[in-house]
Amino acid sequence: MANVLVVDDSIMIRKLIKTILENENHKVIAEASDGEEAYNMYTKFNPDLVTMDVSMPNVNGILAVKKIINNYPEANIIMVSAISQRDMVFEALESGAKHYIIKPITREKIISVINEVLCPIE
Amino acid sequence: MKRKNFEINDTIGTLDLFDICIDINRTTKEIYSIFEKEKNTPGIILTNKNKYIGLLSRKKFYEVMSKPFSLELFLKRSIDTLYQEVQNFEELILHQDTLISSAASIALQRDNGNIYDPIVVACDDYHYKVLDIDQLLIAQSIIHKKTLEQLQKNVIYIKNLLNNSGQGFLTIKNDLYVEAQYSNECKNIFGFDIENHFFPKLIYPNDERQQHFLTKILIKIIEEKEKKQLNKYLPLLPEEISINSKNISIEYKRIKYHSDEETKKYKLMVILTDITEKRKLENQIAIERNQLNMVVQVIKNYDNFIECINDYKNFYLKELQKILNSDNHLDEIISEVFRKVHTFKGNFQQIEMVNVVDFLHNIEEELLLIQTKNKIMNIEEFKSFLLNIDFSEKLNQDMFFINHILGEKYITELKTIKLKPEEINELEKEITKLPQNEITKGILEKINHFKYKNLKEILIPYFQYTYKLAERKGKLIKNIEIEGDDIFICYDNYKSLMKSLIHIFRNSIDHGIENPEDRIKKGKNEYGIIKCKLKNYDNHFSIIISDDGSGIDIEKIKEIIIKKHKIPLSEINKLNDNDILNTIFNNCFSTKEEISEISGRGIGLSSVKSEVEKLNGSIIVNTIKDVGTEFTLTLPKNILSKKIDDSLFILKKIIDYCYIFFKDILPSNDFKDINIEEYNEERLALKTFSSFIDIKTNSEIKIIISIDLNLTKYLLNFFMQNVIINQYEEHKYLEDTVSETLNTILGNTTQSFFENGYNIDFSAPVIMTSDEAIFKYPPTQKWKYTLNTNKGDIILYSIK
Repeated sequence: MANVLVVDDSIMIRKLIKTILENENHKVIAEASDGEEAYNMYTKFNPDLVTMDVSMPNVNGILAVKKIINNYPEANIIMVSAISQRDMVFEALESGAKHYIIKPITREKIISVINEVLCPIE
Repeated sequence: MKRKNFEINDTIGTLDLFDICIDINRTTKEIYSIFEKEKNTPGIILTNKNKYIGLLSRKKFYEVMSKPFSLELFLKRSIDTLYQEVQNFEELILHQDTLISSAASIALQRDNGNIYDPIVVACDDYHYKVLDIDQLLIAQSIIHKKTLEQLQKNVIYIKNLLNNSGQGFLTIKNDLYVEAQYSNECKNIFGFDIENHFFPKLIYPNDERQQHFLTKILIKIIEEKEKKQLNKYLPLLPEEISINSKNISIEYKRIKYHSDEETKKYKLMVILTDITEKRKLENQIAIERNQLNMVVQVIKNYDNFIECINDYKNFYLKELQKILNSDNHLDEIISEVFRKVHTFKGNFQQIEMVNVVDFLHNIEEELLLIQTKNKIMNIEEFKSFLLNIDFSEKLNQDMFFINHILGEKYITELKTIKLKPEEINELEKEITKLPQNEITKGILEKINHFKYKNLKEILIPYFQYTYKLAERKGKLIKNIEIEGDDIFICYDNYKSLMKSLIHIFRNSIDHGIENPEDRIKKGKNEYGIIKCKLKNYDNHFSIIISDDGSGIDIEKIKEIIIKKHKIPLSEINKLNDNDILNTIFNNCFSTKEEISEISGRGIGLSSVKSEVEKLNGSIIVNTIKDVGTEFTLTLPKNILSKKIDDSLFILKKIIDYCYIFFKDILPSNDFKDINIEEYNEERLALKTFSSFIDIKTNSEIKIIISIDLNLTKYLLNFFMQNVIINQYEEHKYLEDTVSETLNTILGNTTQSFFENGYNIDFSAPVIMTSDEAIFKYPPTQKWKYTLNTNKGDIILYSIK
């Protein structure tokens, strides 16, 4: 069971991710709707895992990843992105994000990516 | 006898081996004589009581023997003595199943001093033989040559395969420059020789940002050591690109090109496939789908469609000239044209006339360039620019398609659209199969418009008949005026009635409108007037047909009644004029004999009345002598749909689906009471969440569904699968839960009514939240249904 911070500017997507995570017995301990809030929430709750939307108003997901990784290099961040944003996903991975999910979000995608990040089998 | 033929997987056991061994207790002289006799023998196996001791190679033997006094020293002694002398030498022992190629490779790795020493081959059952290194190397060289030939054949074969596969294959190393070996198709795709071209630039020739991204990720992928990471990055590579207006799909495969485990190196194989044709096909399908959409939209918004096309035609045929020739400043003219084009684009978009929309969009772009001075034009240039545009071409293209689907006859002169009834029914059936929502509902309503004819159009043929009749009878009438509302009725249901209306018109000509001479005598215009007026009400409509003829002579009717029915005048005088007048609708008047006697009406009016009554309508006649006669027919609408006039019936249907709904959700042992009763109180007790739904059939019924908080919470949990909801948002979610529940129940109910041919219309549920409010409703018939469960309660009221 992981404590998860869900970052997305859409309440709908947050709800969806939350629903799927909680069905998998993870706990969404906080939500954020932009990068700045995401960083603050990370500092406050120190979650085991973050799902991070790539494009958000104000501070986008890439900047948020950079900021979080800069201060917490061990952070487990999973990007959530549309297929058209592959270059941004790559940038996020280069910046330290652990993995990504390409929309549409499905239970299977979330589970497999989270398992890969949280329980890596070498 | 030397073997010439070796296969790549032959072992050293298959080579010619020297099988000479000697016990070390024998004398060196014996060995000496063997080496002297068998000049080819590269070495002899030494044994001690049949146990392997070691190898004495020819080279070593003569090395020792050539030293001074060696012959004297060793020849007569045992081999063992000699062997002690050479023991620092370690022979290479290989099993007979060792591959020739491996053996050669191992043998050649020995020190320079003993690199040419023979090899001991350990055969099965502890037997040892000697292999001459020359022989091994010859065999190895033959195998090597053979392998190379095979490899070359394979390369040619693979190249052929790749060149003829129709796919572009190329490889890149971590410098990302295309390697020399690539398939022919690559040339077709890129249009030039791509050897040594920078791959990211080939893929994104004009997009530096993407080039940069591709460069970084490709290097990452080629150099990545971990398979897991590789799998993470590979899906981020572009899967489809456009090169020279071709759609190219790209696949990637990382391949090893240095097999050595420690210096593992990879390159990327890129496989390009031209999928332009496939995309074209898909686009074609999409276009056809769009066109069908357009037809649906045209049917749905027929009035809009006609108006839009007429406006548009008016614009490019007339208005545009006017705008261009006005005295306004060029900027204003441009703005005005822009506004117009923009409006038309929006209008055509609504009816999804894609070609016109695209066309107008391009014009709009052009105008924008001119407007923002990115393209400088003076008024004359602007004029000729606009006047040279063919505004009709794309419209005609779309119209062609619409005509093609609906048939050219259906849109004639852009006035009327005609579909055969069976086509309409077909269309209706298709649409009812779709999931029902606002759009399909809208389309169905519009389809009803087609099934339903405009009453004016139904009446017009009677006018033609009336004119001809008047001509025959030597009467003059003005064009029949038709005025009032557009009323759409399902012609099939009113057919007999409409046919009977002919009697009213005929009677007007026969008996209402006077001869021109008589009219002039009466001071009337010699042209008689017949009018038709239509009035639309919520649930019914009226047809009023009037003439300015001589009116019905009440006295004459009385005479006929007396004569026909032998009723005394005193009795008749007790009746009022209206009663007497209404007797014209009786059968007795519909005989030839009486017609001539009644100045005005007679024939067939009874048939009109009976048709009206069949439809639950009414007919009233008003007449004033020498002023005219007026018939008013009042008829119900929607006589097609079966009547559901029973609020209990509807409630029961809803309850059925309500029950089914909750049965799916609640464990069966959670149901406590299910109860339906007539409810006589004015006050209705409500639970926390209530919804008021109006149902329109022939009468109006209100349904109130009320669910308590606990049950709603249970439902919310059920829908959201135990998602914890923050308490500030909970209320919103609870309301959504109630509407979701109601939509499901009502949706199923509507569907079932619809399937059974009933016409029933629910208003969208309005949700009200209150803490167990009381609702007061005037005394009408009410029904109450309660469903009590362990999870909470639900109440349904139906109010007529």
